[in-house]
Amino acid sequence: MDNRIRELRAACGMTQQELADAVSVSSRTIISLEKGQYNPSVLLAHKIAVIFGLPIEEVFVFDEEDNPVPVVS
Amino acid sequence: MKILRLEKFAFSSVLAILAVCVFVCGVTAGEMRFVIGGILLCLLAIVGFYSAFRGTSSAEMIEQYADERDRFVAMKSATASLKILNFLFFTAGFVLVCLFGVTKESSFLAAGAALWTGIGVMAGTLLVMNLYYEKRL
Repeated sequence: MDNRIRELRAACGMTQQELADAVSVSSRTIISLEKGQYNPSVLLAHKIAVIFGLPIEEVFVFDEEDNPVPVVS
Repeated sequence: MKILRLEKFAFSSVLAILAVCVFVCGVTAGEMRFVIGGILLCLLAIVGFYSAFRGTSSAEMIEQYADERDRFVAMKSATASLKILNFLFFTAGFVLVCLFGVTKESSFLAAGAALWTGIGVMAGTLLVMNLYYEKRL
């Protein structure tokens, strides 16, 4: 799952360590998130979105082509 | 004094009993190595009792500092390790049984059976823990 964490973090003028401290994770986790090597839990994604003041969908890009959601009628 | 970690207390109790037995055997038989072994076991038991009453386990200390990615990596590592161990045990057991077939040496069969029993125990433990966490979560 892609995300805009690096871009939003830079826009806020935060370092990786500052963002990590704000959401109570290690900087290694933030680095892995920014590289797309790790998908966060819903709780962590929510915390990050709250830090940036944006909805989760605007921070984390969900690719519907790779993960199609079945339509329930 | 309250026992904070029951499993550590139980393990240390067994160590203490073993230490006494080994020490007494060493003294009565005049074997210095058993005496030293008994003293070392006694020290281990003391450390174990201390952590049972006072300290936190290494797992708890790690939990304080580990975040979700660390737990994810630990889970992936444990899964991969289990797969590798399973493969190694099975392969080694198979080789040992084949060696028994060739050489008729019973120790090969015993070793191969022990390894395959280990696989069975791992599978049984995995199943039990899976059922346990299915009910708890």
